[in-house]
Amino acid sequence: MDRSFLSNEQLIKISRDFVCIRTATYEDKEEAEFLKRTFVSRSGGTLRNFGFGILSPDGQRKLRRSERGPNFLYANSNAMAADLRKIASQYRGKTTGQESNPPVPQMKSVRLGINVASCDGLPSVVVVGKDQQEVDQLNKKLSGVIWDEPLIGKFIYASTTNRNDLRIVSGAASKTGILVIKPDTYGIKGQLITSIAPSASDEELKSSLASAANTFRRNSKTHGMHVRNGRQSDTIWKTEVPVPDRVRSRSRGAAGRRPQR
Amino acid sequence: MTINLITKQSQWFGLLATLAFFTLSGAASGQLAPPSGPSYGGSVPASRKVTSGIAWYGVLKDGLAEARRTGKPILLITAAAQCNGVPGMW
Repeated sequence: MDRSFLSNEQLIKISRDFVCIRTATYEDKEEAEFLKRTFVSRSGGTLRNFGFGILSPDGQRKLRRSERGPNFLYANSNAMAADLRKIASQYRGKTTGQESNPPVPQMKSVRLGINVASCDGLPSVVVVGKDQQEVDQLNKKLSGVIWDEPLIGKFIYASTTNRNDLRIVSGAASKTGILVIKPDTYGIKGQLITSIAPSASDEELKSSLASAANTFRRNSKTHGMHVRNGRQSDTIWKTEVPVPDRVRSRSRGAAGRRPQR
Repeated sequence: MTINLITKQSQWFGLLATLAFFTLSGAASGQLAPPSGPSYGGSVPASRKVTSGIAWYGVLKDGLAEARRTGKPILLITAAAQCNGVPGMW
């Protein structure tokens, strides 16, 4: 099954002229407030599982109508890419900060990072340090290599100083540095693919990541089968923010939650 | 006989109306199914190989800070990393 609206080559190319943010819905209270302001109409309603928008650099102004997904606004990926080119051209020349690398695009936690990596069919990269200073140093090193075209958009990142976060990753218990992890089908657990020492040079880091990406094979999934098997095996994700899902709460009992009113 | 038939028809109509009400009200206020078609929160191509994709900031404040720093417009998506409670699927 190809769910590839956003994997169009032209779309990916023009996305480099945007800051691309993909929040995990229902995983952060503060984010949920921002998302409600952006995606829920003034007449009320609840935050739905998907939303899509294009905003000004300050995040305050909608440049296009917010919708549930890009396919609600554009006929196809090429139409979306053409519109993004148009928008980007209005900001080109006004952009700044190109002299330094953007920071590593992180997920909020290792747990969420592995789940999202599984959703995307990508390897997860986890930076593990004994303290925040070491994590920051490793992330700075990472940011120097991951924005180059051979590696960009090929990993889902997270960081931690807490070894307990790695309990869900087999083979990672005593490791520090930069870990590359293969998420399982449900993104609940992971398996260490390789660990890159904190002392690795930029070239070593780059080649290790490239090698991990090149040898990685995503799990084959189909939507209906995945959900059906997950529910049968009671593989249920606990979100940070209650999901307004009357259907789920009716059918899942304790696993589901009552909608927010 | 005629009265019995009318009563039965009324019962069927009532049942169907009730079912329609719950179905429609659930869809309107509950969590909807993901958008139909190939547009998901993710950017998963058909290939099993890893290819370059959109580089997503997963934390809102990190992305907003980067947009302010660079002056680039924002492509924003929110997507639940679970479907009907099952993780590993947008």
